[in-house]
Amino acid sequence: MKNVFVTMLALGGFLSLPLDAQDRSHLLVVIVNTRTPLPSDLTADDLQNIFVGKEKFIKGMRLHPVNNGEEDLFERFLEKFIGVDASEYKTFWIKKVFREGGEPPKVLPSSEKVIRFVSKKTGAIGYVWRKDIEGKEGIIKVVPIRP
Amino acid sequence: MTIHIPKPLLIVVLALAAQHLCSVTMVLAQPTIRYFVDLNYSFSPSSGAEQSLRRGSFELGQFDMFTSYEITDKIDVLAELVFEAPPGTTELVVDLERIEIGYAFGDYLSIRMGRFHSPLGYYANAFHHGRVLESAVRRPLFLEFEDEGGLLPAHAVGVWARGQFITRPGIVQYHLGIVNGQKIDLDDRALVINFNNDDNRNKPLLAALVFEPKAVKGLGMGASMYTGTIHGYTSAKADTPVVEVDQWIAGANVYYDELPLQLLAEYYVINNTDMMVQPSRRFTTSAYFVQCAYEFRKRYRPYFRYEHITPEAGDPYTGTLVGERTLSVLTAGFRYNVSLESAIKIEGSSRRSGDETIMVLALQWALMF
Repeated sequence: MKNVFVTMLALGGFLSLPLDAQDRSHLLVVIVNTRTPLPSDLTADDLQNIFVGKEKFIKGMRLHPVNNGEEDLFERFLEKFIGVDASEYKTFWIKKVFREGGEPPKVLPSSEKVIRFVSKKTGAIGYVWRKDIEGKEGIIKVVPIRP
Repeated sequence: MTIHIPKPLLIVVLALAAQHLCSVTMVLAQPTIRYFVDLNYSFSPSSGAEQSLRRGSFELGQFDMFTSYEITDKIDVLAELVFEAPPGTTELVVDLERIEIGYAFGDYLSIRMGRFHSPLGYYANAFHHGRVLESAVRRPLFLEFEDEGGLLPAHAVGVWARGQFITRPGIVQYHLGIVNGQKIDLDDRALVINFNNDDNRNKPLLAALVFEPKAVKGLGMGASMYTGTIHGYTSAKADTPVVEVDQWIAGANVYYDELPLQLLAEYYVINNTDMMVQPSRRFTTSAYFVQCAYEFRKRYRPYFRYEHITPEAGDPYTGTLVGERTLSVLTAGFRYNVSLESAIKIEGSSRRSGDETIMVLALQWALMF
């Protein structure tokens, strides 16, 4: 009985914690190539400007934003930083490219491919779950995002 | 020390390296290719309407092939090829509507060259030939393309600089261009674009400034201008102009284009100085439109538009293109999004010119793929 009580107490305590405290591995983190001259922290507005094509260069270097094809991660990123859903984002880029030319951000099918691309391409910026970069901190750089 | 690598192993290693390099570069080398199609039906019950409208006609719209490609980090190319059957003809016309090459020095400056859409106003740049991207079946009359009776120079061939600055209050964009200019076909009563040669020495200038405040996503406001000399020709005197006007156009626009709500408004003043028939006589034409649309549940989008053109009598430019009577058009329509890529629109418009009113009903199926 005592064990059941303790277990229930622990479970209740666990469930009352913020989601990211419960499972930090499912925190979304923004990663960049180590040679990309971004500030040590970006604002959410800066990140949005990059992923909607309003800001394509930083200190003369072309930025290469890349979207993550993992559906839940993509939707989380759009909700948190762009403020649209996937269909609205797609429509936005169709209109923008039709109006101005250029290309939309690439979409890579997995976090592994995003990490590989970002590690190799100067100017690349992408996003993955925190757990996906464990052990890879040497080849990419995590950028904190300020509100 | 010399290391000998067996040739077969060397070949395998080189092939794997090449494949890896290709897999990275192929991620980068993906041109955007998109097609836009629209098919239409129009009918008018009004006795003063054209016969084809009175009979009711299905119309092939446009088949628009659009491509855009970033060749390098700084060089990009854009091309738009449109197949269309002009009204009243049995011919199929192929029009290279846009072909641009651009070099970007940074966000602050990109130099572009080719044939492009004049950066006058918001509508002309936001909505090109892909009708599925527009709320309504057709463009405002004075913003129609040159071969469809438009009053403003919708296209230009020349060189163009554009750029933007991100400031604390919002984004400031600019456009500056120098172009071949256009001429008037007095027989067809239409503007004609000088594709490959300029019919006079004058090179019109165009400029635009746009501000999009950070505080309101989707809101923007802009001002634009165009100035140049335009000649008009008849088929009898193909090389000698019979009309010459010095023209400047000034425009202002405000837009809120963030669905579900769309609010657009543009106003233009077209000032023409006759340099030939009535030397130094000045004429002023004004034209504007306002449009609103609201999309419910990402499917149903009613829209309304009011347009007004007030030409000045005697103007050799506007008199040729739109006549001398005030024209107002009230349009009400409904757009149904069949899918993200496809929409069906139905609209009715009432066009009043002087004492004459013509009603037109139009149906359009537009899509992209």
